[in-house]
Amino acid sequence: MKILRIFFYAVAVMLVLNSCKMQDPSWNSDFLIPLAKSKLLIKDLVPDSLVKVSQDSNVHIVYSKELYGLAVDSIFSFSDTGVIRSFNIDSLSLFTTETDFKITLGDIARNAGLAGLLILGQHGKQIPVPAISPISSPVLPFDGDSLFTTMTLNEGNIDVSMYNGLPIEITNVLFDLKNSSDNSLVLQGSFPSIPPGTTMTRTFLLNGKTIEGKLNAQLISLSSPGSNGIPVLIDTNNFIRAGLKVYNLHPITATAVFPAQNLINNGQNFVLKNLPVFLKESKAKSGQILIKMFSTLEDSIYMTYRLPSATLNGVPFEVKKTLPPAPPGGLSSFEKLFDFSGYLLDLSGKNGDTINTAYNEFVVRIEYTGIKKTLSKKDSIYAQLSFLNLKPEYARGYLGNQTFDYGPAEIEIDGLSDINGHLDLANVKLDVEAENFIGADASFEIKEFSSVNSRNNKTVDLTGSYNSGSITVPRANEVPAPELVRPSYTQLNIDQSNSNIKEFVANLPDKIKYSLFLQTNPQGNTANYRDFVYDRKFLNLRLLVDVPLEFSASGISLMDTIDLDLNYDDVSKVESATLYFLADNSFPMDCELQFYLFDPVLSTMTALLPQNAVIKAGLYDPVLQKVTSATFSKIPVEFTKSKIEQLFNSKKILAKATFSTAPPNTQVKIFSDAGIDLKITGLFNYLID
Amino acid sequence: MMKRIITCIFFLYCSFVSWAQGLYDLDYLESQDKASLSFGLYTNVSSTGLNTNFVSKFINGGYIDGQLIDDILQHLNGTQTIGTDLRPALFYQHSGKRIFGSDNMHWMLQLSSRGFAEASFPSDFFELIFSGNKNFENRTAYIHPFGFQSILYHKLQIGLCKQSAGHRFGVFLGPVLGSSYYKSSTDRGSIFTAQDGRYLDFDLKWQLEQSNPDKNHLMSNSGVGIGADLFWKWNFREHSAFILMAEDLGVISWDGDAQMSQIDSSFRFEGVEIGSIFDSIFVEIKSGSDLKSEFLKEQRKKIPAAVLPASLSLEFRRQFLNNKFVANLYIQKYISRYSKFQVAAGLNYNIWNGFQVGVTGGLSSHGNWYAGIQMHVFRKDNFQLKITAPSLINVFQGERNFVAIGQVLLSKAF
Repeated sequence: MKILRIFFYAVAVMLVLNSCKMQDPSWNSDFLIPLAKSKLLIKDLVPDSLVKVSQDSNVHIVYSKELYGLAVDSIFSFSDTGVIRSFNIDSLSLFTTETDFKITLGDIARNAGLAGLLILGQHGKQIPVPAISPISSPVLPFDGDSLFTTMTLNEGNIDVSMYNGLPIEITNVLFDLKNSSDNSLVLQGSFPSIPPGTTMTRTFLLNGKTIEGKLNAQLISLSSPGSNGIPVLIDTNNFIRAGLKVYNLHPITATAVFPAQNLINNGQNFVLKNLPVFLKESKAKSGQILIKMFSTLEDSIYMTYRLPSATLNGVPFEVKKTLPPAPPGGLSSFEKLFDFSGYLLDLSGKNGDTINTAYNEFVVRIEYTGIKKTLSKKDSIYAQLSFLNLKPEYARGYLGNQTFDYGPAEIEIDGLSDINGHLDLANVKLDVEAENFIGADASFEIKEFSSVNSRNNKTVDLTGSYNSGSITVPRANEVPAPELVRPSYTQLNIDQSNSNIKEFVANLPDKIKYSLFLQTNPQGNTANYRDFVYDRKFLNLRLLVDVPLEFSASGISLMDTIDLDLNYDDVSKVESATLYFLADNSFPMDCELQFYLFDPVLSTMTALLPQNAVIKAGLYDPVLQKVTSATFSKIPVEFTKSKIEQLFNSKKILAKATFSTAPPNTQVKIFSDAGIDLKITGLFNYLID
Repeated sequence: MMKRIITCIFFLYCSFVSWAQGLYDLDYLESQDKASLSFGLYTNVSSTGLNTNFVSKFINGGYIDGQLIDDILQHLNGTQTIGTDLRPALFYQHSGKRIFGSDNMHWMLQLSSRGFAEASFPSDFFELIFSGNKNFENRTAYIHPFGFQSILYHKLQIGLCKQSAGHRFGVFLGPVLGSSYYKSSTDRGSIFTAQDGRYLDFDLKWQLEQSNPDKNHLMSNSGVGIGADLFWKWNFREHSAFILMAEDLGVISWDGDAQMSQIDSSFRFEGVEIGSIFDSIFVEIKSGSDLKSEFLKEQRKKIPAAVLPASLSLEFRRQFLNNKFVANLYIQKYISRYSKFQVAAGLNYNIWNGFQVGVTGGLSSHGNWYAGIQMHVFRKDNFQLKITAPSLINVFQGERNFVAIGQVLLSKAF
C-alpha cells in the first residue's frame, strides 16, 4: 500500500508539471499591408449617366432631365359607365293550329224533312233537288288542349273556311265558336252563299280575346235553294267541310306549349360619357365588363349579350348565359365580371357616323317548352351593363384642343449639388426638347426657367431671345409594330448666342425652377378624327445639357458624407500605424484630399490627412491639350493608437476633394481615360501574442 | 504565480545534466537488492539560430523586446532547426534473485510521458513572424522549406532485466497512449511585399496532419500504439563498460477523427476594392478565422500512424584511480528528420563514498556546444538523488545558440 501511495503522489506531481501553461510571449512586428484601392474617375465626380465621351475622347457632361410628360391619362380617361335597362317581352308567340269538320249530304237530308226524304230516296239518281229550308248541325267539339289551356291574346287570327262539296248551292250559312267551359262566344260569322264545288273563307281577329283549349263549334243554320228544277246526281256522301285555322297568336298571357322564340331582340348604342375627347376607336389596356341579369320568367331563358363593336383578335365580345326558370313570383339572376383587356372598341356607333358610342345587342330567347307553361308579357328581364376601370392602351379620334399649364415646378440637378468653387466653362449648350409620341399636333412655351443654387441662395433666370413664343410640335406618325409610333422631335436650342447660358450653368445649380404651357391641336381637328394616343407614349418635354469638360477651375470642391464601416476585432493590438495614400493622377487637376472623422455623436470632426495633402496634377501638355503622363504622389498619414481607435469607431466620414486645374487659369480638357489610381496601404506596428 | 514557479523549476531543471543521458540508471539497478521507486525528469532542448536569451524569453513568456529579435536576425541565415524532448517518468523496480524461474532477474514497471517536438524553418520565416514584412519591402520572403512535428504520448511498460556475467539485458514493452500529434510541412511558400505595400503576392502550399483536434489536451486519448525500450550493458573489462540503449521503438495509430489540412494557393492581395471613395466605405478586415476558412481545406480522416521519436545511444564508461574517477563518452541520435548526432563526454569524482561531482560537455543534437556539471548523492539500499546539468555554462551565455539538457532522478529503495 505504501508503494502504491507513493506511486500516486508521483503521478500527481507529473500531472501538475504538465498541465501548467506558461505565460504567452508577445512581441511587436511591423506589417506593411495593402488596405484598399480605388480609382477616381470622372464618373465618380459626376454620375456615370451624365458622362459622354466625344470622338476625340473629350468628356462631356450630358444632362437629361424630364420637365414634363403629357400622357394619355392627362388627355382623357374613361369613367366607369353603366346602363341599366328593364326589358319587356317583345312578343310571345304560340303554335298555329287548325282542324276541320265534315257534314255529308245524307246528314243534311236527314234533318231536312220531306225534301230530305226525297233526297235520301233518290241516292244515285239524277233528279231536280227541291229547296232546303234552314237546318242546323250538332255542336262540334274543338280540342286544342294539347297545345294550350288558355290564352289571352294580344293579337291573333282565326280563319274559318267552308267547302261546298254538294251539287247544289248552299246559302245563309251561320256558324259560331264558343269556349266550352263557360260557353262564352269566341266568334260568330256567316257565309251568304257558297256555290257548289267552291270554298269560302272568313278571317276573324282574336285580339283581346281569351281562348280556351276546349272549344265548341256549331253550324247554326244552313239553307239551299235546291237545283232550281235542274236534275242533278244525288250522292248522299257528298259533304260540306268546315275548317278552323288559329294562327298569328301573340298572347298577353298564356298557359301553353310555347315554341322556340326570341323574347327580346334589342340593339342599341351605348355612349361613353364625360369624355373630353372625341374617339372613334380605342383599345382597352385593362378593364372589365359587368353584366347583371334578373328574370321573372318561369322558364329557362337563353341570354346573348353581344358587343359587335368590341373585338379581340377579330372575335366580337359575346356573352351567352342560360338563366334557370324563376320560381313563381320570384327572380332568377346572373352576375359576372368579364375581363375586357385587349379589346378593340369601335366607338363610331352602329352606322360608323358618330363618336364615343359603342353598339351592342341583347337577345333573350326561350326554347320549345315541350310542356305547357304560363308565360306573360308582363314578365320582365332586367339587365345591367357596365364598363369598369377601363384604361386605354390606344385611342383614335380627335383629342381636342386642350391646354395644360404646368409649374412652377423644380427639378433636382444631381451631381452638381455637392460642388462648390469657381468654374469657368469654355462652352455650354442647353436644349429643351419635345419628343412627341402622340398623334396630335401640339405646341409648348417656356414661361419661366431659372438656375437655383441653394447653397448660396443665388438664382439666375435664363434670359435672351431664345424664348420668342410658342414652339410648334408636329404630331407623331404611326408605323407598323413593334415600333407603332415614330415620335417627332422638336428642339429649342439655347446657347451663348441667344441666352445667358454660361452664367446660368456657372451658377452650379442644384435645382432648376420652371413653368410651361402646352396645347394640343392648336389648329383644331385638322386630322379629321385621326389623332391617336398610346398608353406610355408621352409627349415629353426634357432638358438636355451638354457641357464639354473644357474649363479652368480653382477650388472646385466635392464634399460628401460617407458611411464608414471598418471592422476588425483586434484593432487594440495595433500600437501605431502609418497609412500611405498612393496616387497616380492623370487628371490635369491638383486634388487636395481630406477626410474628416466624425465622433460617434457626430458633433466634432477630426482631419485625417495632413493639411495641404495634395495629389499633384498629371503632366499637361498645352499643345496637345491633354495629360501626357500621370504624376505619382505619396501622402503618409501617421496614426497614433488613439487615432486608430477613433478611425475604427467612426461610422461617418466626410470626404472632401478640392480640384484646381493645373496650370492655373488655363482651360484644360478632361479626357475619358483620366483618373486617379488611389491605393491605401498601411504600415502597422502590431502586438502579437 | 504558479506559472512563474513552474517556469523556475523548469529552467533550474534544464540547467543540470545527467551522467547518463537516458532515464534508466543501470548502475542503480545493479546495486539494488530491494525494490525501489524512482521519479525521473529528462529534457533536451536545442536550436540552431535562436539564442538562449530569446528562447528563454519565449518560453518564459511576456514581452519580447525588439532588440532580442534583432540580435537573432543579425546572425540568422539559411534554414534553422529546433528540437525539444521532455520526458517525465516513474519507475518501480522489483529485484530478486529468482524471478520467473530465472536467477538475477528484475522486473520493472514504468509509467512515463513524453513530449517531443522539432521544427525546421528558413530565416525569413522567423523574420516574418517576429519582425513583420516591413523589412521585406520590394523583395520576397521565403517561408519554405518549413517542417514541424510534435507528438505527446504516455507509456505504461513492463520491463524485464536479466543479469549475467559481464552482461545485462533489459527490455520494456507496453502500450502507448497518444495525446496529440502534429506534422506540418510546406512544398512551397513565399510572400512578396511590393514597394510601399501596394500589394502582397502569396504563394503557399502547406499541409498539416493533426490528431483529433477535439482531443488535444495532455491526457486525451487520440491514438493507441505500442512501444519498447531495449538496453544492453557490457562490462567488457573491469571498471569499463559499454551501454547500448534504444528507447521508444514503436508506433501510434491515430483515431479516425484526425485531420488533414492544406493550403495550396497563389494570389495577389491589393486591398479591398472600393468603388468610389465618395460612396460608402465598408472594409471588413478579415480575422484569422475568416482567412483560414477562405484558404484552408480541412478534412477529417484517418492519418498515417506516427513512428515514435526513437533514440539510440552508445556510452563508454570507465572507472579509474581506485574508482575515484569515472569518465564516460556518450553518443546519441534521435531517429528524426532534423536532429544530428549528440556527443557528450564527462568526468566524475568521488569526493567521498556516496557523493560524486563531475563535469561534462558536448555537442547537442542541433549542433550547439555545451558544458556543465553533475551531482550524485546516494546511499546503498536507501536512496539516491542525481542531478545533472550538462548545459549549465550555456545559461550564462545568452548570446549563444540555445541548448538546455538536463535530468533529475530521485530513487528510494524499500
